[in-house]
Amino acid sequence: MKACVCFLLMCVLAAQAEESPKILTLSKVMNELKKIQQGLTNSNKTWFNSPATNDLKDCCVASALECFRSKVLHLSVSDEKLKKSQRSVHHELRKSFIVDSVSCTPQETQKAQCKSCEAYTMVNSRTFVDNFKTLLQKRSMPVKRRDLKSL
Amino acid sequence: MKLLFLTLFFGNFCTFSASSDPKINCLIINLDYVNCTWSEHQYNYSLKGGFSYFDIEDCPEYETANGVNVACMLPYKERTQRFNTLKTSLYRDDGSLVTEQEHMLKEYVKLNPPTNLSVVEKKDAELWLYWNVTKNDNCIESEVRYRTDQNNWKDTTPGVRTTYSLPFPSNKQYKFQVRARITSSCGQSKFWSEWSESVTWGTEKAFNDTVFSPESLGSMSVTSLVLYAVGATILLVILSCLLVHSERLRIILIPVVPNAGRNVSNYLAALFDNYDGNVEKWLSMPKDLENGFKPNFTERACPVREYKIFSQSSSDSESILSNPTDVSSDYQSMHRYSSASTIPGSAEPLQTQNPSQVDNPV
Repeated sequence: MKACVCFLLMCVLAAQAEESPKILTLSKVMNELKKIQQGLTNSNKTWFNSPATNDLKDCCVASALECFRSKVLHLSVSDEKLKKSQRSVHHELRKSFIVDSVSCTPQETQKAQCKSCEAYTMVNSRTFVDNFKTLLQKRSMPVKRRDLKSL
Repeated sequence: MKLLFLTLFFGNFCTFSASSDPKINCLIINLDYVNCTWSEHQYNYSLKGGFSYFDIEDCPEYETANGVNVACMLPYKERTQRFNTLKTSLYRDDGSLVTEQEHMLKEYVKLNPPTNLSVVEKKDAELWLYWNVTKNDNCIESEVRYRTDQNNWKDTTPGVRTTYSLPFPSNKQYKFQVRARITSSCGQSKFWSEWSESVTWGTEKAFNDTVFSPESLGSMSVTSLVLYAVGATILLVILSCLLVHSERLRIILIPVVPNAGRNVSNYLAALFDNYDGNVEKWLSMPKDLENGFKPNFTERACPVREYKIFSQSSSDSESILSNPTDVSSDYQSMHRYSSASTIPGSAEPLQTQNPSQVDNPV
């Protein structure tokens, strides 16, 4: 009995511990993106495929994040320090607790038929970063199991 | 030309119709439901709505005024729904579509105010404020404001914690309030919640413009005033009874001031009538004492002699004084002087003492 209680307690603690690194990492990435957005150059001249968060299925968040992550290094910035921020964002979003979609099983993700990065609409770099930040804000929200109809 | 005129007319008509469509405004309330209102109430409209990738539903609950629907409460099933597009449609009673509109509600959230505010003073002279927020996670930030007595409110920096500490509070009354919103890391809401119910710590100022001001007196209830008056009366009665029956208490609280009265005035009259104001004669003082009050009085010096101690035996404990006759003669002269300088009645102890037994030389 005691072993079961200890095991359950450890599971709860582990779940909570996993939430904190995700929040910290997302906050760090968001701060870096804010700096990058302030230092963008040729905003209307560079265009990127960008998922729009308001039109994104929940089970496609992970693939959309990967789309943003892959393009972030191509943003045109004015400062060498901002290039370092770009590399930081590119690296941090590789972490498993960011990429893994907690709310969707692999079957649900496959059923969602998420778009590839190139299928998304082209937007300028400023809108690209705005959409990127919005997706990270959505990723920061506590996630629950959902109704399958929403897929 | 006629075709152009007709095109322009109908084009303007369509534009006019579109601009006269009711404007639908939606706001997410406490992440519990979506409150949608519309600008026109001349017809009884019905609404259908839903977030993208969720079902479009008939409005389950309306708010009515004067018999027509004026607002709709749509369900809000998941906390991330506000990142999706909300599609709403308004219909007339006959089922005809009036307008369709889409809304981006990520920032249009208004939370309920925080609750259960409490203040605790800790041992190290710090005030700690605690409260609960509606959805307790890292996406809700709170802002505290406080004021002392009736001064202006002071705002603090918002944070995700549900505690606030104020070091070294002064001896005043503090009033605290808290409000909440979604943080920027989770898509900051445009609106703060309403301020919470306030919580108070400390005592209000007891002088100047508080207790004795007409406003403060007016604010005291009649019952409180009557109770205070009755209590004061009872206390006065008890004290009066104690003073009457307890002589000891009366003497302590009201010390008796000696009153000379008529006898003293008669007594003093004899000083002036019989002794012509001469206080010494009136008091029947001895002559020596009387001389002591004269300005040219000189006191005789009292000679002091030293006694040498020498031992006549081998033992150290014994000691014999020097010639006692010197002592007696000196003592007799001392006796004469001492008896002249002391008040009669106090020289008896010296007269009875044996001069040969002086043990402690100076």
